[in-house]
Amino acid sequence: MRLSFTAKLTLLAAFNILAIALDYLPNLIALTVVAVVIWAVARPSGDRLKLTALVVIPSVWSVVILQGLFYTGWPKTVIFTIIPPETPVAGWLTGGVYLTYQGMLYGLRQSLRIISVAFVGLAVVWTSTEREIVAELRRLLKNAALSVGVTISVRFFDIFTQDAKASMVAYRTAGNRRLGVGMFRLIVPLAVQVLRRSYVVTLALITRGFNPRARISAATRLGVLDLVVITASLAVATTIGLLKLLTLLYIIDVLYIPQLRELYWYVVNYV
Amino acid sequence: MSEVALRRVRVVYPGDVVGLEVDWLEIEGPGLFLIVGRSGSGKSTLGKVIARVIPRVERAEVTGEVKAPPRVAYLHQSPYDQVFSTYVIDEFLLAKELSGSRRDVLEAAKLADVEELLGAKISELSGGQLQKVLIGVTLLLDFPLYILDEPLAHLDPRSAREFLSTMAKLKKDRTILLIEHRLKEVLQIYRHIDRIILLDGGKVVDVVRPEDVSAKTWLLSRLGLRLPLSLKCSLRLGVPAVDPLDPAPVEYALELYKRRDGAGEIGETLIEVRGLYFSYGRRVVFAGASYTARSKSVYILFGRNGSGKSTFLHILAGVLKPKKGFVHVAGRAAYVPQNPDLILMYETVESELLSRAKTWARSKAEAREYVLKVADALGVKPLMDRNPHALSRGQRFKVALAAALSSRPRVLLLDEVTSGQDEESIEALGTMLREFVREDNIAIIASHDVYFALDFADYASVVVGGLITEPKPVGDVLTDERLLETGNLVAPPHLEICKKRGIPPVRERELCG
Repeated sequence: MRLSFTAKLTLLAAFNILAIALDYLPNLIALTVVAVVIWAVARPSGDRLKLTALVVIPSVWSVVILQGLFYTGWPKTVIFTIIPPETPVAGWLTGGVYLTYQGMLYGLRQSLRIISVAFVGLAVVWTSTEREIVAELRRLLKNAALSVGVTISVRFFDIFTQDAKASMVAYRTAGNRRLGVGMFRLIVPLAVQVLRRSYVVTLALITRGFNPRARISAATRLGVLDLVVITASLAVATTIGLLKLLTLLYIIDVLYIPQLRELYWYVVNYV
Repeated sequence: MSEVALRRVRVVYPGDVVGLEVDWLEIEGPGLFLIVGRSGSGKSTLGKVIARVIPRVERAEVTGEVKAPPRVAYLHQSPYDQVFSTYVIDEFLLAKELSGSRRDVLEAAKLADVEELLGAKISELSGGQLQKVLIGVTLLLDFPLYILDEPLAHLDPRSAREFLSTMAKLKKDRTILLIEHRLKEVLQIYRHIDRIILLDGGKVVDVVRPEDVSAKTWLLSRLGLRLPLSLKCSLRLGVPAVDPLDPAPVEYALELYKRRDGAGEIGETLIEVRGLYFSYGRRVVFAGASYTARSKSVYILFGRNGSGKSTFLHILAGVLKPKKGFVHVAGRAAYVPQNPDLILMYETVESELLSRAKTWARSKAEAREYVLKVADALGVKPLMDRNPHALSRGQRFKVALAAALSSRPRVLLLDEVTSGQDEESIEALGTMLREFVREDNIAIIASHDVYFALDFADYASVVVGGLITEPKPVGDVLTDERLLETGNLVAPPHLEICKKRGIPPVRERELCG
């Protein structure tokens, strides 16, 4: 049984809401685990594993380290000193550079937000056809040109990387080093290719009788699984989103409902 | 029925470059019409004016009267840039979604002979299958007029033949204008062609009926077209050919032919590959392939689309690392990809060439001297001050080749170099390659062009099933039924005559060059 693109989009939207709403680290870890399971269901190939690593590893690494270094909250527990405050010049100027436990924990939370959405997003794109994406985006955006543009960008990203590889082959066989200064020159042929391809794509769209005003195909009939996923996603995301909103309103002294006192405590500590 | 008419049409591109000047041209459909001419003759401009790509999409000034159906399908030569989906069925459904067409997908797919491919992945199709899928997709919209701009440019010979036979079937209910360089292949179905429109210098020089092609051989040759061997021999020996496939002139040429003695010089081993394993993720490309090639020779790699020819060139160039196996390439390698634009990175042709020469030259003067020599040999010296990306496709290819040669390689790796080139450019390329290998160098070319291979290469191999067959003389490969089948190749027709007469394969240029 296959999920419809509508259900997949709803699931992705729910993950976006949850990633913003959840603060409690075990909950964010649980959200990421569920996202990884969804990603694994898409059965990623070797290349897709590499692509996922390219998205996930830099996100986690950079955010955790940056927050570990520049965290401004209190308390802070130093777990590693990079520049002691007594170091001449650098130490005097910065007052010391440290890696802090709370900063890294905060960074981990932020990176889990990013990667949980990324895992689900990749799974949605990999398991959807271009036609499904165009059709659903047209229904959502009510803009044929924009929806086709988005779909073509996704499709041609792969071709762009192939072009980049071919250019790199020629660049390196011409006696240049992989990371030499002349690398920026690769932009020229790649930019020219993008322009030439845009022209061919325009012709292809005309030949396919692309009509921005063509009737929008009827919405896909939803199956039982679609309905379950949509209902569950919307229920969980709106409940948690609503709880967080009410708690936020209480914290900033805008709205206090006494009957929810225990719920406020629970949300602050466990959501 | 569709009708196309052009009266006193003049197309001027920005910079006052005249692209087309047609006093009068009428095309009465339905039928299959061939538009031929050398590079820059105005073939594509004619197609674009009829399809209204000029001036609606491409900027140019059009004067005169152009009459054509309001809806025209225009298919560009690169099929891979015109598909948006992962699966064939989705490409059809996407076209329905974009256009709002109500026609039946299965019916359109059947018409284009691709109903069996509906469940296939686009990336697994051959170039010919993909071209047919694109035609099938446009059949959903039921265009009365089709303009196909060099649809055979990226197809292997069998795919080209398959594609042409589908066109012959489709012409019954619609008008198809086929813009092509590969006259040799197209004339194999000359009986299905209704008219051949000849262009030169932006002008229509003649409109020929297929049965009159033989009588117009001289004109076709003057226009720089790749003629079938029968017509070439007919022209050279003065033996009349009844039609483009008439074997009589070739038979006569073979009677007169005296084999030149002496095999080519054997050079030193420059390339040695043993037990090569390579894969892209789960897709295994090479599984234990071996290959040896010597200097002073031109080698061809045949193989179906996607068989791994380009990957092998990348491995030889040293930019893809094999998973397992021994790869040895003696000397510097230079690589020209199928799309030459991808290696042009500088503002002028001169700086493009100098950048490569500077990697080995001891002084600027030495680099400049060498670059001028290369540019002169390839005929790009007058273009030295021009921006390479502003040149025509044929010129860009020559510049890319000159750039590769400027790095003074010993090993030249070329990917599909003859696609979209006219007869003169192919001749010049072949001659240049022969000179290059004579200086103890080697050229390895991935190609589908059996005619070029037979005329200018020494050895050929077929990349198939993760292996590479041992390099053999090109003639031997092109007369081996098993290798022709595995490589999706169609041998030049005269080799069949050689076989019948019991003589070894003869190069076309030796016979009627």
